[in-house]
Amino acid sequence: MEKRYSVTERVSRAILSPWATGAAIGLAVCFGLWLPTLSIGLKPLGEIYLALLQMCSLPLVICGVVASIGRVLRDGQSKRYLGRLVMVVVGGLFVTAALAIALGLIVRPGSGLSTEASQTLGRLLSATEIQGGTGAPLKEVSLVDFLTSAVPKNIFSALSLGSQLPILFFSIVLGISLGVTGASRSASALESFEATFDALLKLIEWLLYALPLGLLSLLSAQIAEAGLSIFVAMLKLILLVNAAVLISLIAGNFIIARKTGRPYFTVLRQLLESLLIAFATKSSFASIPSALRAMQKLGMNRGTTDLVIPLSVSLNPIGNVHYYTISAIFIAQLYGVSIPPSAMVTFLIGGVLAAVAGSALPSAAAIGVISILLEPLGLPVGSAVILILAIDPFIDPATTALNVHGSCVAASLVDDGAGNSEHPGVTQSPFSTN
Amino acid sequence: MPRLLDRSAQVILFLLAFCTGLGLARAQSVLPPDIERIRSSGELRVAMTADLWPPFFFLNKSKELVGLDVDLATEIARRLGVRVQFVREAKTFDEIVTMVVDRRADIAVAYLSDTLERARLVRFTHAYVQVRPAVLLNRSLAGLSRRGPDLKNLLNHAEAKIGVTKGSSAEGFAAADYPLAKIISYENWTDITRDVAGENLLAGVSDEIDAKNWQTANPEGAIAIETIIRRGPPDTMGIAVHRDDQHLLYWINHLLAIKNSDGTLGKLHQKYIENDLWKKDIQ
Repeated sequence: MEKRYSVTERVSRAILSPWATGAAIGLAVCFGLWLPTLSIGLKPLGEIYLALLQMCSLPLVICGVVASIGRVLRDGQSKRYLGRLVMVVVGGLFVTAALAIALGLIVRPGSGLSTEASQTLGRLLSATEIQGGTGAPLKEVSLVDFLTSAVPKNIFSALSLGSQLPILFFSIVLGISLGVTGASRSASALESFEATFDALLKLIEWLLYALPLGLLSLLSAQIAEAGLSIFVAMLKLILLVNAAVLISLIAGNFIIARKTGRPYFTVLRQLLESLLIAFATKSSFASIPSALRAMQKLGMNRGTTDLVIPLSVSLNPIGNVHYYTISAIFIAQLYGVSIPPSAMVTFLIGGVLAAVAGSALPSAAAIGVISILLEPLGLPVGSAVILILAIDPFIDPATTALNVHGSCVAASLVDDGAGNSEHPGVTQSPFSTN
Repeated sequence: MPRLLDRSAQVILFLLAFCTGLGLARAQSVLPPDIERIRSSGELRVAMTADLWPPFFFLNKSKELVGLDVDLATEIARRLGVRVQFVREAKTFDEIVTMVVDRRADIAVAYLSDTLERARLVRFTHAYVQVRPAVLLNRSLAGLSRRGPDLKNLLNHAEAKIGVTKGSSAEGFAAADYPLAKIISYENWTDITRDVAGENLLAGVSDEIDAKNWQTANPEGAIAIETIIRRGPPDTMGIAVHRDDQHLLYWINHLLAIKNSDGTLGKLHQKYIENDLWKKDIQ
């Protein structure tokens, strides 16, 4: 028997259906290619949408992490839980780095560039460097800088700058202290964090009505602004990184399907929305709320997802691993430097560290972390940063989407399926798409 | 009163001599000898090198000599009221100076740096254009040396090999700026860029003109070589005149001052140094 819907319900279901999203993406490609002026004119609209998502995401992440850590500690299951989280994160990063290195060495994206491609790259370097004059090269990021930047001197300045890592650090510490404070005193604090979290999730749900419009304006501007000649010149690298992302995504989705016991394509369909948001906004934080909703719908323990997904978006950025490791191999091949087998382990660790350090920085500055990989090999960092920054628009969307997907995989691996009703009042979306 | 007569005779004689002298001078010319020499020959001989140095002097698509120096020299000749004649015989920049010393040319407007060494032999006008020093750096060698991004730190040490063109102003700059480095003199700039690309040299030192010309000719070269336009003291170009041609020197300086204040020099700089549009017309 068919269920009857009111007109409003029908409209809302239509807007939130994957078809609307797909149509928006198709339209964005057409706009970007054939109506570049209009597309760039639409950009402010997309920026407003992104700002709205980010406005909700940051407090949502804080509330989620604080409340979940507090709960975990109070329930006394922290050791088992956190130990598994560390193992999943470290294991995921290293497996991904090994895959990236293998792909880079087999496909060799930086070897045998055509004369035209070399000339395009050379012209780009000349134009950028002459424009900057003697300009100071992009600041190279060292490991010590990264560790120092993880601890906020002033939490409010970290919040106002939206620096992910210091905010997470503070949230974890606050969650731990609330968890070990006597239950009678911290209960109301934890509850208020949870209530704020639920309210923000509600806000995000409303925002999802504008998702097709947001995707249209963000993607069309991105396509219109992308430089086509550089795209062609570095096509092999762009394709390889995106292929690596796809391999990891397909494999990761198997893990989620297995752990949740849901069919493969149901999992993919649930996660599609958050992957698209990540892809279009290039902000993994902006897509966290959508990922949380999806994982809950897949029957995951909310206590796990609220903690693991925000944490591992920053600490388990497997998309970044592909990005930086394969790009570094590209640069090594471009300069005819082969990575000696003895340096392979250093390179592997470097790829993992660069990825984690990069997730804490905005994308333009993040590329500087590639120096962690290049410097030990004596490769030039300045030209590498310029070249990779030029193709960032073609790599960042996919790698950001993988960062989010990877954190969902981590959540499914950490979760043991116990105590699904740990949190009272799990938000049930009124616009569920299935 | 023979004495008195003598005195008046003397005065009359003197006045006569004075008037005759004045009349003779007027009949000859009112112009100072250096300007007069050029005016009477009907042409201004401008020395340049046989090699072309875009954007200062080069051949356009219709094989005419054009460029910043050509524009300027033509204007000087026009204001002097004579034709311009370019004498492109010199093999090196120092040879241009010799040509002016030997009076085989009247002036040199030829992308010529007004170095102190050259200024011992000829007189330079005020600088009409200045170009910034540039360093072409091999990226791989710089990366391997692990000396960080600071240029001084990278170039000023005993293992650094730096190429300069013999007789160029960069030769002096490089020795002064990087005293610890091994400075190697080359016959021409093309060999330097080849050796920087081939990792035989860590760097080549010249100016932004050489650097940009190299970039245009080898667009893919920037992958291996970084061009660094330095903020340091710029290389100034002056017009060389013979040491005896003092009035000509004053006159050209006066013309340059006018051209500077009415913005003509600024426009020339914009057209040839800042913009690349002239490259479309190069042969």
